[in-house]
Amino acid sequence: MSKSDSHQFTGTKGQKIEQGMKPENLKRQLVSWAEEVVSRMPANVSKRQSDKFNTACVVFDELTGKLYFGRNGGIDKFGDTIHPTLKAILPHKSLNGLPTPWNCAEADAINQALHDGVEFGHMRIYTISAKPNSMGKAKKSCENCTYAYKGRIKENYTGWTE
Amino acid sequence: MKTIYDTLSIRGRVTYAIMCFERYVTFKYPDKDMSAVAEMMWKIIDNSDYIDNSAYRYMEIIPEYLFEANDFTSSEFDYITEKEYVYFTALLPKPDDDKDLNTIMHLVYDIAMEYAYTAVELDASETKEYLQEISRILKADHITLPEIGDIPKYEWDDTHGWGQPFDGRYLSIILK
Repeated sequence: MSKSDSHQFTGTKGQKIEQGMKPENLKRQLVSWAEEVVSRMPANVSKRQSDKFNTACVVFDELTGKLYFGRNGGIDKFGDTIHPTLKAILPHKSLNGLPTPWNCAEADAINQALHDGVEFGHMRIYTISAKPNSMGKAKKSCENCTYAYKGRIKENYTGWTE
Repeated sequence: MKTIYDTLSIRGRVTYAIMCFERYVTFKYPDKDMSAVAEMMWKIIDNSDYIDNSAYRYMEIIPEYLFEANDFTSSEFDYITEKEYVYFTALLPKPDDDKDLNTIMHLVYDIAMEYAYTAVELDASETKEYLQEISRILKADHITLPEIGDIPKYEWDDTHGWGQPFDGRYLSIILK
């Protein structure tokens, strides 16, 4: 799947945007996107690579209704440039030796939104497990993401590390 | 569900899984030197790299992934070298030749990565089930389970369930 395929857009104004930002709607579209990512993996992608996909996140831009989908490892995997704003707020060294800050699904989705001009204050996010045995299960943001995004983005429907 | 693993952080649970792996291979493969495999496992918890990087590196030698392709080039590994590939394919059995070893090695990875990219849930019950699965395998082979007592205990507030990074090699029975 090319990076451009990973974007889906919905709604334009008013009522459609109100509907689109509902958490259950975001979850439904995110699960659909994650399942599509899995089903569209080319035959030459190894099981090892496909098994690495365990988390998906969607950013909803409440101004335009656009959705930005991200996955763990997404930034590295597709060679994206990390947006300077994102680079500035991510911890320079992962907190407590935990996963690489820019490998989270939130970072991938937020990075795309930032590159498209979306401001933090208009972002609402939803994060799920993308593992086959727990697909769609809501996931809180990790310590690194909580450090970087809490207080900046408008809403995290699936919660922060407390 | 209360278990004997409740006092262990995620890093502590990875540690216990590695200790079980070491006892399994020592029992099953007494003539093979598994220290290179153990070394890759212990790196997952020692903070020498991000935990996901260490786990992804180790993942490449789990038999079901190591033997997934027929040669090094088509495997497209991100971490291990061709020299390491040759070494590990000669050392480790194919997944169908020892399904239990493949399962134990996979579960070490699963415990480390269960809460990567999210917050550790209170109790982290999935990882306890993984340890119970490993324990069942060892018990079925009448292999004595390792002692939990020496593993650093759970400090939820300090580390949100992960536990502090530490060098667990002092607990190894292979890296001596």
